[in-house]
Amino acid sequence: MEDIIRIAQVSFQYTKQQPALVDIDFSVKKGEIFAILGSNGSGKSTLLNIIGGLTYPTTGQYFFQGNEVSADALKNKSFNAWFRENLGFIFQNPDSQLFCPTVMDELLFGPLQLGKSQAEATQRTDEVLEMLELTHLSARSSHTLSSGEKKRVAIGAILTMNPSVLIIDEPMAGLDPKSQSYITELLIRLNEAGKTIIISTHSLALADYLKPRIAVLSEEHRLVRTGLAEEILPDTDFLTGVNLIHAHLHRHGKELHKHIHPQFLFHRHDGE
Amino acid sequence: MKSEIPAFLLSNDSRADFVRQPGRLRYPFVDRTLRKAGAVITAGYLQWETAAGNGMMQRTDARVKTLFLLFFVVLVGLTRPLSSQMFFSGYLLTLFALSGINFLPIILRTFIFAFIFGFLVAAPAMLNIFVDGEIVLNIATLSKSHQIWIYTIPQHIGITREGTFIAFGLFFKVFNSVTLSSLIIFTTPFTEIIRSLRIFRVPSALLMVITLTYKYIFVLSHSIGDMYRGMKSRLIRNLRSKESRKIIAGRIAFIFTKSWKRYEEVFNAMTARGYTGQLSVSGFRKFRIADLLGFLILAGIGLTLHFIEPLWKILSE
Repeated sequence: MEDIIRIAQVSFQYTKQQPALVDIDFSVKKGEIFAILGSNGSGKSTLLNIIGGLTYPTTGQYFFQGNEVSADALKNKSFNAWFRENLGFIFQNPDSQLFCPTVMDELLFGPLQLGKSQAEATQRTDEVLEMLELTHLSARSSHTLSSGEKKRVAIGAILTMNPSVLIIDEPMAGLDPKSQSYITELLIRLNEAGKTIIISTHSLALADYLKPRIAVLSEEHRLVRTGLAEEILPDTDFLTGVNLIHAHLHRHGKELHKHIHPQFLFHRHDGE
Repeated sequence: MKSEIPAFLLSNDSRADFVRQPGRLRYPFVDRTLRKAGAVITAGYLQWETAAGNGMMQRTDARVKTLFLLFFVVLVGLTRPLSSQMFFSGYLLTLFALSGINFLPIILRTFIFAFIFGFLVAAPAMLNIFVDGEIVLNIATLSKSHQIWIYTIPQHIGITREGTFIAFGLFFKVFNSVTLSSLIIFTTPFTEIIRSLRIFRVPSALLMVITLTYKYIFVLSHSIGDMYRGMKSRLIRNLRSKESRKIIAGRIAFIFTKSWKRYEEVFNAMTARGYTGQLSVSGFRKFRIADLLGFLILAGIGLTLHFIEPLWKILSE
């Protein structure tokens, strides 16, 4: 598979005393699921913002399909249009992303901007509303929806644009278990449909479900390891070192004890 | 999931290769304003970073600095000689340097502010139309003087020595006052500045309101920044003004709703922690001799500079 994204020696700092990313270097291949794992404050969201062309590296370069993405490059109308239609960004907080009066308007916004006809945009919107089980909410204003519904609207607003790459910042943030499994299934099916999916998360359970290729960020904002989920998730010493799992106190019957209890060990198949 | 993935999502209809064409993307005016509002966060972090430094002013007690600010602003207002005002400026720049702050960008902004609101406002006073005095630069000569309403237009119009002193005096007063305020802001955490106002008997409830307002500005700026990124990520072409207006109206409504919810949450959080209408704010440590000495030294130097002209005359005689 060819590289679709290349992050080359990227560093980012908000202020001199606040580095958010230090010397990050990796590639994402076309059609894969790629997860950026790290504890809170490790720089996952900043890295996704850079990939989404919303923030620019302090040093280093970022290439999308061989084209450098920079503030200057995105000022070019044709480059911006090409980049945005290829790459859909779903924010951790859907409130940030939803700005149209109704759910229907949200989903129509993207395809109409892409220059699709009203009929085609409406057809796409209807199909995505149905797939995401949002048809009954189409006339509602997004701020009146629940967190799970807002998340689905945010995803729908991007899907109607049919980007080849989907970037999702913390896909499970603030969702109940039912919504979480819904999103997990959706991501797997979109990937099977050929979409490249890039997520940031600190949920090992999600990484276990999606089996992505993983890049792990340390608390020092450095990329400390990349590899397949099957290689990284069983390495408890490594995961403890990057603060993704930790020993915690819990009960087994009446016995109270403390040990490392990675979340992904709970993953069981039917009948096991 | 109920339904199958729509057929259009199974195809890749976005263009794989980029073909460059001329034309620049323009963000709507309101959008640019929103982005700048979001920059408040960065400014706040910078303030926090410089205030956390280990320079002379950072190590000085917030109450001493607040008292010094009040004292110095009054002193600057009362000082007439330009030489004293210039020494005040030098004194403040020295304090900036001793605090390890890169003061050039701050001073530049202050200079522009003082030029507009100090010098330009008082600039007409330089002319002998408004203030009588000795002309140092003749601008125009008329055939005779004229009387218009309460103003006399003299035969010789020019810039006077007295008027120049007034204009430059006001410029320095504004410049020095704003420079000192900047020095205090950049060397003191905002919360400490607010708490230090208690020495002026400002009610705790008012201080709490100011603190909450300050924090809310950051919350709001965060929301605005997120909104801006959300919009940018989906902006493919230049928006028509009608589309922009529709989006901005939706965002304003959203922020209003969010603000309203935030008020309720903050009030509930306060109630849950025992708030019943009476506020008790944590106090400062005791005022020490070292703090008093610090104030006396800072104020003493200022006072000496205020009397620099008469002192110089006495010393030179």
